[in-house]
Amino acid sequence: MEAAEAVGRLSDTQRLKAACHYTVAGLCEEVSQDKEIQFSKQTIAAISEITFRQCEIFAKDLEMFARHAKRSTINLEDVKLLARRSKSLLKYVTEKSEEIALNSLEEKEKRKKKSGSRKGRRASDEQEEHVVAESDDSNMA
Amino acid sequence: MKNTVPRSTVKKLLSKHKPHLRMRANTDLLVHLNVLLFLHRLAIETRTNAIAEKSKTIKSRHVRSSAKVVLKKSRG
Repeated sequence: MEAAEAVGRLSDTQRLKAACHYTVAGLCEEVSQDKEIQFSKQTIAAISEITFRQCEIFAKDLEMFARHAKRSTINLEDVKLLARRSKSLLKYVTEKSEEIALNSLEEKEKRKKKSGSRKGRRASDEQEEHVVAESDDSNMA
Repeated sequence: MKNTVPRSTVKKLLSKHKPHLRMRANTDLLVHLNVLLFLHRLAIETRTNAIAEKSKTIKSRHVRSSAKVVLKKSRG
């Protein structure tokens, strides 16, 4: 049984590595088209191996940060802390996190609106909501 | 090397950088330990630099080039 489990875990890591390799190859393809430089297969394999190892370090660090804050869930603040060593990376991560926070806020508001209309208030309320939806559409366009 | 820790100096330096931060008891000793380890790393790196240049004495340029590397490595 234990041996079978070990084999299963091995194939799991191999599958993860293969997925990582595939993604790295796609990103390298983009860069090579952008810069007009060819990547050898060994280079791509080395980059994917580095990425895999780095992920282990990231995972351990994130776990430690969350535990330090007495949480068991890793959140955006932990990820920002992970990127603190490089100023440019920290700036980039902070911008992205603000973007994500904005998006999630908008989604929440949409959900609220939907649940409100589902409950079926007065007709005038619904009309108002229609107007709001239309104005939203015009904003999108 | 003398074995006493300059505790008040460590505290003073830290409070100079971050006046609003307070330290718990004996944290300054751990800070001092970190300083000693940093100096050890810096010394080893500088010596390797000097040996790589076939220089018998450690010169200021060796310290400068190794300080750049070691300071980057010891970021928290």
